[in-house]
Amino acid sequence: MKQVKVTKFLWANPHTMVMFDMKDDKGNISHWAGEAGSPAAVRLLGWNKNSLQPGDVITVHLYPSKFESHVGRLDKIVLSNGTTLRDSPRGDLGVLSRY
Amino acid sequence: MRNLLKCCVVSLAGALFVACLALAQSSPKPNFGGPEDLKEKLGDTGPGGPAPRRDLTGFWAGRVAAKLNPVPAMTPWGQEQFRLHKSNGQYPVADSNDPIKGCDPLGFPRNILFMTRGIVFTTMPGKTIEMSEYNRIWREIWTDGRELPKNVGGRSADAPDPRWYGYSIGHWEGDYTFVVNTVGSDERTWLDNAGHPHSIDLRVEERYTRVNHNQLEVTVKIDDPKTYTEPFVITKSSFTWIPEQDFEEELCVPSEQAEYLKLIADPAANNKNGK
Repeated sequence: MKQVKVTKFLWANPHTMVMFDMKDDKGNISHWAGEAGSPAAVRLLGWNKNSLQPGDVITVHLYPSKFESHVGRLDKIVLSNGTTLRDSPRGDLGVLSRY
Repeated sequence: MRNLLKCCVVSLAGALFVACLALAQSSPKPNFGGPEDLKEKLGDTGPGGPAPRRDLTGFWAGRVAAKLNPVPAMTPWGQEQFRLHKSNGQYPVADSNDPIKGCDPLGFPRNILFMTRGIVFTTMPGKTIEMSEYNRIWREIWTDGRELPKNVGGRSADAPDPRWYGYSIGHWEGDYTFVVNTVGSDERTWLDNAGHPHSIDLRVEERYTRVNHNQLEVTVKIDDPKTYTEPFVITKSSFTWIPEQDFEEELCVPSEQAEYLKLIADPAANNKNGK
Protein backbone atom coordinates (compact mmCIF):
# COMPACT_ATOMS: atom_id res chain seq x y z
CA MET A 1 0.00 0.00 0.00
CA LYS A 2 1.73 3.09 -1.26
CA GLN A 3 1.38 6.69 -0.14
CA VAL A 4 -0.70 5.95 2.93
CA LYS A 5 -0.87 8.48 5.71
CA VAL A 6 -0.11 7.62 9.31
CA THR A 7 -2.86 8.65 11.71
CA LYS A 8 -1.51 7.09 14.88
CA PHE A 9 1.54 5.17 16.04
CA LEU A 10 1.35 3.20 19.28
CA TRP A 11 4.63 2.11 20.84
CA ALA A 12 3.06 -0.48 23.09
CA ASN A 13 3.01 -4.01 24.37
CA PRO A 14 2.22 -6.61 23.21
CA HIS A 15 2.45 -5.04 19.75
CA THR A 16 3.44 -1.79 18.21
CA MET A 17 0.57 -0.56 16.08
CA VAL A 18 0.38 1.71 13.08
CA MET A 19 -2.94 3.25 12.11
CA PHE A 20 -3.09 4.74 8.65
CA ASP A 21 -5.49 5.99 6.01
CA MET A 22 -5.41 4.71 2.47
CA LYS A 23 -7.02 6.56 -0.42
CA ASP A 24 -8.19 4.58 -3.41
CA ASP A 25 -8.31 5.68 -7.05
CA LYS A 26 -11.69 7.29 -6.50
CA GLY A 27 -10.57 9.24 -3.49
CA ASN A 28 -12.34 7.05 -0.96
CA ILE A 29 -10.44 6.76 2.30
CA SER A 30 -10.24 3.55 4.29
CA HIS A 31 -8.86 3.31 7.81
CA TRP A 32 -6.36 0.56 8.53
CA ALA A 33 -4.45 -0.81 11.51
CA GLY A 34 -1.33 -2.91 11.35
CA GLU A 35 0.53 -4.62 14.16
CA ALA A 36 4.22 -5.45 14.46
CA GLY A 37 6.30 -6.97 17.21
CA SER A 38 6.69 -5.61 20.70
CA PRO A 39 8.94 -2.59 21.31
CA ALA A 40 11.56 -4.90 22.80
CA ALA A 41 11.61 -6.84 19.55
CA VAL A 42 11.36 -4.16 16.88
CA ARG A 43 13.79 -1.81 18.60
CA LEU A 44 16.49 -4.27 17.55
CA LEU A 45 15.43 -3.60 13.96
CA GLY A 46 15.72 0.16 14.12
CA TRP A 47 12.30 1.21 15.35
CA ASN A 48 11.80 3.57 18.27
CA LYS A 49 8.94 5.42 19.90
CA ASN A 50 9.24 8.29 17.43
CA SER A 51 9.76 6.31 14.23
CA LEU A 52 6.39 7.46 12.97
CA GLN A 53 4.34 10.58 13.50
CA PRO A 54 0.78 11.36 12.47
CA GLY A 55 0.86 12.77 8.97
CA ASP A 56 3.86 10.75 7.79
CA VAL A 57 3.38 9.34 4.31
CA ILE A 58 4.69 5.80 4.09
CA THR A 59 4.45 2.57 2.12
CA VAL A 60 3.01 -0.38 4.01
CA HIS A 61 3.50 -4.06 3.28
CA LEU A 62 0.95 -5.99 5.31
CA TYR A 63 -0.68 -9.39 5.67
CA PRO A 64 -4.40 -8.61 6.01
CA SER A 65 -6.72 -10.48 8.32
CA LYS A 66 -8.80 -13.09 6.59
CA PHE A 67 -11.86 -11.01 7.45
CA GLU A 68 -12.36 -7.71 5.69
CA SER A 69 -11.61 -5.79 8.82
CA HIS A 70 -8.82 -3.51 7.56
CA VAL A 71 -6.34 -4.91 10.05
CA GLY A 72 -3.32 -7.08 9.60
CA ARG A 73 0.24 -7.97 10.48
CA LEU A 74 2.92 -5.68 9.12
CA ASP A 75 5.70 -7.15 7.05
CA LYS A 76 7.55 -3.87 6.67
CA ILE A 77 7.03 -0.18 6.18
CA VAL A 78 9.06 2.18 4.03
CA LEU A 79 9.44 5.75 5.18
CA SER A 80 9.46 8.73 2.86
CA ASN A 81 13.25 8.94 3.21
CA GLY A 82 13.59 5.36 1.95
CA THR A 83 14.27 3.78 5.35
CA THR A 84 12.75 0.32 5.69
CA LEU A 85 11.47 -0.84 9.05
CA ARG A 86 10.75 -4.54 9.22
CA ASP A 87 8.57 -6.49 11.58
CA SER A 88 10.34 -8.68 14.11
CA PRO A 89 10.86 -12.36 13.37
CA ARG A 90 8.08 -14.65 14.46
CA GLY A 91 10.10 -17.75 14.82
CA ASP A 92 9.69 -20.79 16.95
CA LEU A 93 8.48 -19.52 20.31
CA GLY A 94 8.37 -22.92 21.92
CA VAL A 95 4.72 -23.09 21.01
CA LEU A 96 3.41 -20.55 18.58
CA SER A 97 2.39 -17.36 20.28
CA ARG A 98 1.17 -14.04 19.05
CA TYR A 99 3.66 -12.32 21.30
CA MET B 1 -9.17 -2.81 -5.67
CA ARG B 2 -11.37 -4.69 -3.22
CA ASN B 3 -11.21 -7.85 -5.40
CA LEU B 4 -7.45 -7.51 -5.52
CA LEU B 5 -7.34 -7.26 -1.74
CA LYS B 6 -9.62 -10.29 -1.40
CA CYS B 7 -7.26 -12.17 -3.63
CA CYS B 8 -4.35 -11.02 -1.48
CA VAL B 9 -6.23 -11.97 1.70
CA VAL B 10 -6.99 -15.46 0.46
CA SER B 11 -3.55 -16.14 -0.87
CA LEU B 12 -1.67 -14.52 2.02
CA ALA B 13 -3.95 -16.04 4.64
CA GLY B 14 -3.30 -19.39 3.08
CA ALA B 15 0.42 -18.80 3.02
CA LEU B 16 0.37 -17.59 6.61
CA PHE B 17 -1.69 -20.62 7.69
CA VAL B 18 0.80 -22.95 6.07
CA ALA B 19 3.64 -21.02 7.65
CA CYS B 20 1.99 -21.33 11.07
CA LEU B 21 1.59 -25.08 10.65
CA ALA B 22 5.19 -25.34 9.65
CA LEU B 23 6.27 -23.42 12.74
CA ALA B 24 4.12 -25.58 15.00
CA GLN B 25 5.94 -28.60 13.63
CA SER B 26 9.27 -27.12 14.74
CA SER B 27 10.58 -26.12 11.32
CA PRO B 28 13.56 -23.80 11.19
CA LYS B 29 12.34 -20.36 12.08
CA PRO B 30 11.74 -17.91 9.26
CA ASN B 31 14.53 -15.40 8.83
CA PHE B 32 13.14 -11.92 8.58
CA GLY B 33 16.60 -10.44 8.41
CA GLY B 34 16.90 -9.28 12.00
CA PRO B 35 17.52 -10.55 15.51
CA GLU B 36 14.58 -11.88 17.46
CA ASP B 37 16.04 -10.83 20.76
CA LEU B 38 19.17 -9.38 22.32
CA LYS B 39 20.65 -12.82 22.88
CA GLU B 40 20.52 -13.47 19.16
CA LYS B 41 21.91 -10.02 18.45
CA LEU B 42 24.84 -10.57 20.81
CA GLY B 43 25.67 -13.85 19.11
CA ASP B 44 28.73 -15.70 20.30
CA THR B 45 30.43 -13.38 22.76
CA GLY B 46 32.99 -15.98 23.72
CA PRO B 47 33.64 -17.20 27.27
CA GLY B 48 34.71 -13.81 28.62
CA GLY B 49 36.93 -15.54 31.12
CA PRO B 50 36.29 -18.23 33.70
CA ALA B 51 33.09 -18.39 35.70
CA PRO B 52 33.38 -16.74 39.11
CA ARG B 53 32.69 -19.13 41.94
CA ARG B 54 29.15 -19.22 43.34
CA ASP B 55 28.15 -16.07 41.56
CA LEU B 56 25.34 -15.52 39.07
CA THR B 57 25.19 -11.79 39.72
CA GLY B 58 24.38 -9.65 36.71
CA PHE B 59 22.13 -9.08 33.72
CA TRP B 60 21.59 -11.94 31.28
CA ALA B 61 20.00 -12.04 27.83
CA GLY B 62 17.84 -14.98 26.86
CA ARG B 63 15.65 -16.01 23.98
CA VAL B 64 12.22 -14.42 23.92
CA ALA B 65 10.94 -17.97 24.51
CA ALA B 66 12.73 -21.15 25.48
CA LYS B 67 12.57 -24.16 23.22
CA LEU B 68 10.28 -26.53 25.06
CA ASN B 69 10.25 -30.29 25.10
CA PRO B 70 6.96 -32.10 24.61
CA VAL B 71 5.04 -32.70 27.81
CA PRO B 72 4.35 -36.30 28.83
CA ALA B 73 0.92 -37.83 28.97
CA MET B 74 -1.44 -35.94 31.23
CA THR B 75 -3.67 -37.35 33.91
CA PRO B 76 -7.46 -37.09 33.43
CA TRP B 77 -7.41 -33.97 35.62
CA GLY B 78 -4.64 -32.47 33.53
CA GLN B 79 -6.44 -33.28 30.29
CA GLU B 80 -9.60 -31.58 31.50
CA GLN B 81 -7.71 -28.42 32.48
CA PHE B 82 -5.93 -28.41 29.15
CA ARG B 83 -9.22 -28.72 27.32
CA LEU B 84 -10.46 -25.56 28.99
CA HIS B 85 -7.42 -23.52 28.03
CA LYS B 86 -7.75 -21.65 24.72
CA SER B 87 -4.26 -20.67 23.69
CA ASN B 88 -3.25 -17.91 21.31
CA GLY B 89 -1.65 -20.49 19.11
CA GLN B 90 -4.93 -22.30 18.48
CA TYR B 91 -7.44 -19.47 18.68
CA PRO B 92 -7.47 -15.88 17.52
CA VAL B 93 -6.29 -13.60 20.29
CA ALA B 94 -9.81 -12.26 20.67
CA ASP B 95 -11.12 -15.75 21.47
CA SER B 96 -8.22 -16.89 23.65
CA ASN B 97 -8.55 -17.16 27.42
CA ASP B 98 -4.81 -17.04 28.02
CA PRO B 99 -4.57 -15.20 31.34
CA ILE B 100 -1.75 -13.00 30.10
CA LYS B 101 -4.12 -11.58 27.51
CA GLY B 102 -5.45 -9.31 30.23
CA CYS B 103 -1.98 -8.69 31.68
CA ASP B 104 -2.41 -11.27 34.43
CA PRO B 105 1.01 -12.34 35.74
CA LEU B 106 2.86 -14.94 33.72
CA GLY B 107 3.51 -16.68 36.98
CA PHE B 108 6.10 -19.34 37.67
CA PRO B 109 7.42 -21.36 35.91
CA ARG B 110 6.01 -19.80 32.73
CA ASN B 111 8.07 -16.65 33.36
CA ILE B 112 11.29 -18.66 33.04
CA LEU B 113 10.03 -20.30 29.85
CA PHE B 114 8.55 -17.30 28.00
CA MET B 115 9.34 -13.60 27.77
CA THR B 116 12.81 -14.42 28.99
CA ARG B 117 14.64 -11.72 27.08
CA GLY B 118 16.31 -10.60 30.28
CA ILE B 119 16.91 -11.92 33.77
CA VAL B 120 19.00 -10.52 36.60
CA PHE B 121 20.48 -12.14 39.66
CA THR B 122 21.57 -10.36 42.77
CA THR B 123 22.11 -11.48 46.31
CA MET B 124 21.44 -10.21 49.79
CA PRO B 125 21.90 -11.94 53.13
CA GLY B 126 19.97 -15.19 53.19
CA LYS B 127 18.50 -14.93 49.72
CA THR B 128 19.12 -14.58 46.04
CA ILE B 129 16.83 -12.36 44.02
CA GLU B 130 15.99 -13.27 40.43
CA MET B 131 14.43 -10.44 38.47
CA SER B 132 12.79 -10.57 35.07
CA GLU B 133 12.85 -7.90 32.38
CA TYR B 134 9.26 -8.71 31.49
CA ASN B 135 7.02 -6.85 33.88
CA ARG B 136 9.98 -6.16 36.16
CA ILE B 137 9.02 -8.82 38.65
CA TRP B 138 11.28 -10.54 41.11
CA ARG B 139 11.42 -13.86 42.88
CA GLU B 140 12.97 -14.42 46.28
CA ILE B 141 15.07 -17.57 46.46
CA TRP B 142 15.88 -18.27 50.09
CA THR B 143 19.37 -19.61 50.72
CA ASP B 144 19.27 -19.59 54.51
CA GLY B 145 18.59 -23.31 54.78
CA ARG B 146 14.87 -23.10 55.34
CA GLU B 147 12.57 -25.76 53.93
CA LEU B 148 9.89 -25.24 51.35
CA PRO B 149 6.47 -24.55 52.84
CA LYS B 150 4.06 -27.43 53.08
CA ASN B 151 0.36 -27.60 52.42
CA VAL B 152 0.33 -24.52 50.21
CA GLY B 153 -3.25 -23.78 49.26
CA GLY B 154 -4.60 -26.06 51.94
CA ARG B 155 -7.68 -25.32 54.00
CA SER B 156 -6.09 -25.15 57.41
CA ALA B 157 -5.59 -21.76 58.95
CA ASP B 158 -1.81 -22.01 58.75
CA ALA B 159 -1.72 -23.13 55.10
CA PRO B 160 0.24 -20.64 53.00
CA ASP B 161 -1.57 -19.06 50.09
CA PRO B 162 -0.60 -19.97 46.55
CA ARG B 163 1.55 -17.36 44.87
CA TRP B 164 1.78 -16.36 41.26
CA TYR B 165 5.53 -16.95 41.49
CA GLY B 166 5.57 -19.66 44.15
CA TYR B 167 7.91 -20.14 47.07
CA SER B 168 11.57 -20.85 46.31
CA ILE B 169 14.68 -22.06 48.06
CA GLY B 170 18.12 -22.45 46.57
CA HIS B 171 21.55 -23.96 47.20
CA TRP B 172 24.83 -24.43 45.39
CA GLU B 173 25.97 -27.77 44.04
CA GLY B 174 29.69 -27.31 43.73
CA ASP B 175 30.81 -23.82 42.80
CA TYR B 176 29.02 -23.29 39.50
CA THR B 177 25.52 -24.75 39.68
CA PHE B 178 22.77 -23.01 41.62
CA VAL B 179 19.77 -25.25 42.23
CA VAL B 180 16.37 -23.72 42.91
CA ASN B 181 13.30 -25.61 44.09
CA THR B 182 9.85 -24.06 43.98
CA VAL B 183 6.39 -25.03 45.16
CA GLY B 184 3.09 -23.25 45.61
CA SER B 185 2.51 -21.76 42.14
CA ASP B 186 -1.02 -20.52 41.63
CA GLU B 187 -3.03 -22.91 39.45
CA ARG B 188 -4.46 -20.02 37.46
CA THR B 189 -1.15 -19.67 35.64
CA TRP B 190 -0.40 -21.79 32.62
CA LEU B 191 2.71 -23.88 32.31
CA ASP B 192 3.38 -22.66 28.79
CA ASN B 193 1.92 -20.79 25.79
CA ALA B 194 0.16 -23.93 24.58
CA GLY B 195 -2.02 -23.82 27.67
CA HIS B 196 -0.63 -26.87 29.38
CA PRO B 197 -1.81 -26.70 32.96
CA HIS B 198 -0.24 -27.29 36.31
CA SER B 199 -1.65 -27.96 39.74
CA ILE B 200 -0.85 -26.52 43.14
CA ASP B 201 1.16 -29.70 43.70
CA LEU B 202 3.68 -28.63 41.08
CA ARG B 203 7.32 -28.81 42.10
CA VAL B 204 9.91 -27.21 39.86
CA GLU B 205 13.65 -27.62 39.93
CA GLU B 206 15.81 -25.09 38.09
CA ARG B 207 19.52 -25.70 37.66
CA TYR B 208 21.56 -22.65 36.70
CA THR B 209 25.08 -23.56 35.66
CA ARG B 210 27.54 -20.79 34.94
CA VAL B 211 29.70 -22.34 32.26
CA ASN B 212 32.06 -19.37 32.00
CA HIS B 213 31.81 -15.65 32.63
CA ASN B 214 29.45 -15.05 29.68
CA GLN B 215 27.30 -18.17 29.52
CA LEU B 216 24.59 -19.42 31.83
CA GLU B 217 22.81 -22.69 31.12
CA VAL B 218 19.45 -23.48 32.67
CA THR B 219 17.54 -26.71 33.03
CA VAL B 220 13.94 -26.66 34.22
CA LYS B 221 12.37 -29.86 35.51
CA ILE B 222 8.65 -30.28 36.14
CA ASP B 223 7.22 -32.66 38.70
CA ASP B 224 3.43 -32.52 38.99
CA PRO B 225 1.87 -35.96 39.48
CA LYS B 226 -1.64 -34.50 39.66
CA THR B 227 -1.25 -33.19 36.09
CA TYR B 228 1.46 -35.25 34.36
CA THR B 229 2.11 -38.97 34.50
CA GLU B 230 5.84 -38.50 35.01
CA PRO B 231 8.37 -35.79 35.81
CA PHE B 232 10.07 -34.24 32.82
CA VAL B 233 12.63 -31.67 31.77
CA ILE B 234 10.68 -29.01 29.96
CA THR B 235 13.65 -27.07 28.69
CA LYS B 236 17.38 -26.63 28.58
CA SER B 237 18.10 -23.06 27.67
CA SER B 238 20.94 -20.61 27.89
CA PHE B 239 21.55 -16.98 28.71
CA THR B 240 24.32 -14.64 27.63
CA TRP B 241 25.98 -11.96 29.71
CA ILE B 242 24.79 -8.52 28.61
CA PRO B 243 27.84 -6.28 28.12
CA GLU B 244 25.98 -3.09 29.06
CA GLN B 245 24.48 -4.76 32.14
CA ASP B 246 21.11 -3.18 31.44
CA PHE B 247 17.94 -4.14 29.67
CA GLU B 248 14.65 -2.82 28.40
CA GLU B 249 11.60 -1.86 30.32
CA GLU B 250 9.06 -4.37 29.06
CA LEU B 251 5.66 -4.16 30.69
CA CYS B 252 2.22 -5.55 29.98
CA VAL B 253 0.14 -2.42 30.35
CA PRO B 254 -3.59 -3.07 30.72
CA SER B 255 -4.62 0.07 28.85
CA GLU B 256 -2.27 -0.71 25.95
CA GLN B 257 -3.46 -4.28 25.91
CA ALA B 258 -7.09 -3.12 25.80
CA GLU B 259 -6.31 -0.83 22.88
CA TYR B 260 -4.59 -3.65 21.03
CA LEU B 261 -7.63 -5.89 21.50
CA LYS B 262 -9.98 -3.13 20.31
CA LEU B 263 -7.92 -2.00 17.31
CA ILE B 264 -6.38 -5.23 16.08
CA ALA B 265 -7.36 -8.46 17.77
CA ASP B 266 -11.16 -8.13 17.85
CA PRO B 267 -11.48 -6.88 14.25
CA ALA B 268 -9.04 -9.53 13.05
CA ALA B 269 -11.27 -12.18 14.54
CA ASN B 270 -14.35 -10.49 13.16
CA ASN B 271 -15.40 -9.96 16.73
CA LYS B 272 -16.59 -6.38 16.68
CA ASN B 273 -19.13 -6.84 19.43
CA GLY B 274 -16.58 -7.65 22.08
CA LYS B 275 -17.71 -11.27 22.52
